[in-house]
Amino acid sequence: MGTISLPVRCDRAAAEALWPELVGAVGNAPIEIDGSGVEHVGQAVLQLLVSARRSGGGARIEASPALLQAAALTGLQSELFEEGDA
Amino acid sequence: MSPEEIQQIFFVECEESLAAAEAGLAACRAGTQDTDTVNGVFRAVHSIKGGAGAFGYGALQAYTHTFETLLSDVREGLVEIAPPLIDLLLRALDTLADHVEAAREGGDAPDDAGLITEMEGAMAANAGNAPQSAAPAPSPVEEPVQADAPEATEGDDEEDLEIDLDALLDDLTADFDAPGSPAEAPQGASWQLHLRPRAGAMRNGNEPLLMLRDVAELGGTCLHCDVGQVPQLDSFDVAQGYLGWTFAIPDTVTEERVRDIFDFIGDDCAIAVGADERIPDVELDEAATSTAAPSPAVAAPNGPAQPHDAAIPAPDEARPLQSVDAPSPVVPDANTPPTGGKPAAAAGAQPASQGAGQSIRIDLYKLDRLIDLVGELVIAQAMLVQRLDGVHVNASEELSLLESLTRDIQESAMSIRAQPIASVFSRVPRILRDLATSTGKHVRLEVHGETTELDKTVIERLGEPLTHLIRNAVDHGIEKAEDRIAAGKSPEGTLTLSAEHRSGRIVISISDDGAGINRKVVLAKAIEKGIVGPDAQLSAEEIDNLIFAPGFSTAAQISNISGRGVGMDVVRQNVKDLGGRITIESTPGKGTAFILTMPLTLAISDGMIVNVGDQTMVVPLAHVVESLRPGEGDVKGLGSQRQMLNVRGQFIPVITLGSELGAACNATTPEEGVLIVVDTESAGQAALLVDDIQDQRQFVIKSLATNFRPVEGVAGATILGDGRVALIVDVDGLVACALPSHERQAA
Repeated sequence: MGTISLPVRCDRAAAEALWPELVGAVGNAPIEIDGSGVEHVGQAVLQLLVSARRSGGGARIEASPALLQAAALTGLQSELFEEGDA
Repeated sequence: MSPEEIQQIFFVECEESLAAAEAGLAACRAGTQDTDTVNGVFRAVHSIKGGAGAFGYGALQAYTHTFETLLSDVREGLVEIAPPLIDLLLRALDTLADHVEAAREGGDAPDDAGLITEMEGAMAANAGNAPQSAAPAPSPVEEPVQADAPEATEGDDEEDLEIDLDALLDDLTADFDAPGSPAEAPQGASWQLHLRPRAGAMRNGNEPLLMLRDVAELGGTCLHCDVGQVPQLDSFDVAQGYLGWTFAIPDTVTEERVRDIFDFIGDDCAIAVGADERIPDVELDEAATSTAAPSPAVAAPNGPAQPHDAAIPAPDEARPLQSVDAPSPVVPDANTPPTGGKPAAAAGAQPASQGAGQSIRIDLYKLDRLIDLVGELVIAQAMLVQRLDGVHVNASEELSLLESLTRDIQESAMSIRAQPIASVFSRVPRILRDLATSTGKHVRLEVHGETTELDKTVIERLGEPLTHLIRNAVDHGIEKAEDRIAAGKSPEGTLTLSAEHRSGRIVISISDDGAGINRKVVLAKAIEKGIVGPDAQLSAEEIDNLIFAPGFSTAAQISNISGRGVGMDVVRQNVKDLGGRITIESTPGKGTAFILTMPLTLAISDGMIVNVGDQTMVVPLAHVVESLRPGEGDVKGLGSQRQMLNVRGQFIPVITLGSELGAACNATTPEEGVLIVVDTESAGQAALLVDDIQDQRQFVIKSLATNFRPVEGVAGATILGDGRVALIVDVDGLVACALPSHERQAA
């Protein structure tokens, strides 16, 4: 299964575009999500990532500093990035 | 989207905010002083302030800041809502409107020093009486919108509001330094803030994370993020807000300081405060539900769902709230109970207001283009009917279906342009306040039917005549307080505005409870000005209509209120230009009502298609009273020139349409043709003689003045089904022109 890349701007429009892609990728194996290029992120994408982590085989997210920062602000680091916590 | 365009949106939103604030304050004055109303006013002023800051309108921002601070005191209950305060707030709002105007036009900011002092006085003066005197006045709110917003907009073309979001997101990552990691307990004493942004908090460029950042900047630390409500991907709805947070806020930060951050989005973020409270429940917003395909597996990966289309309601019962009793592992505080235990039971309890305002902004040009095309469609449809008629094709069922569809399309297109007349009526309180200041007459306003809709162009052009009529009503109609008391009336006058739809037209009435028209004075003045002859015998209605005569003004001294060079004749002309009519109903001692009958639209109208010689002409249906074929003796000669038609005992002049417009009329005597009785503004009723009546149908109005030149007696032209051009008769102009004033109806 390929990696799903997050766009630079993870705003609500991005969440709308990502959702079907993520739904299509749900399976037994974790979804690979590449967030290394993310520079901006909002609640819509954060909660979508949480959902992806909790669906099917979970998700592995590669984070950019901006994504980590947003996760720190919202108390979501372990929810989003800890291994084996899906 | 260019910064100018964004700025334009800001000013449109300013207008909306001003109208909302005006409505809120009016409600306060009427006795509705609940939290929602006051909050609404606060939010309106606050959003103007936010935009003013973003676009660098310093004067506007500084002024709104003072205004907002006072409103904040009102909202907190620190300042009591009393009539003098509402008056002050209304005056402050008027000046705010002037500020916005100055910002938009690039003019000088209005002199607001006095008002600012007054507002500050109202804050300080009441501080001692405050029920919660311990709470300090709220400190200036940190502006969430940065001044560089317009510059950061390249890249986005369509989504107006996303733009702000991008700039704001830039901000979020650029400026954010988390003060301490969330795992650490905050230093010193703290209190707890629980919040859950709802769907609306993520719409329109709002971003909950920005508010969290503001909270963090005040020293707030995230204790817990509730992820228990986030559903699995297959039942996930991008438009909803699923996350909730508990933040620890240092005791040094007041609650209102924090609440100020969330004021901007109002009810779209549920907030609870205190260690015994918990994160508010999820409330799914059905209206916000994204319309992604119901079966997500087949949805195109690159086809983002439309965020604002609410056509498909959220299948609530089919949306399992996953793992409802699985609180996140990061719960360091035992005081925060898991919120998952109570699923979203209150989804229906949310006020309907959230879903009500689904709208988009459309470039007016696109809309006008659509209306134009619909006009062409109406013509093409008429052409088709005529062509098929010519070759005797019997397809009446299909044709009538096509006709009814065309009419439906036309009505829908018109309804897109339609706006509630409230946008005109909402300016009236301001006019009355200004008038109260200059004339000393206090007038109570009653408004009915403000939701009545009519065409945007009509609304825009209605403002001026309406303003003049209102000024006139207050200046000339409503008496001075002492005269009113002497007449046994309440010292405060009442002005009633109403609007309603009546048989395809809109009827707007402006009535006062003043002295009524003094007909003696009006007649004397008209004779003095040579408008009518000294021995003219005029009916009461005709005397009333004299005030529309050019050059007429009865005020003994020309006041600067209504006597500013624009007479009632101009008002009538304005109304006439809009295809409307104005009539007066006046009762001495009881008051005067001006009644405007306006078309719903300027583009398409109903008319009677008539034949005059070899010409086809259109008589707008709005003027037509009846049509008849006169019998023997119904028409009497009056002198050598004029013929009068006897309609049930009333004689009205007959005008031969053909001879007036230079077309040879086949019917030379009324008995040979058809008489159409029409009603006019200035000359009462008249009967137009035509050869025969062809049809009655819709016609698309094309301006003669734009495409050719203005022609007396002709209001415009239209294209007939066979492609020929037919002239639209300007009934008012034609009758007035054909009849010398002494020969008009009652002569």
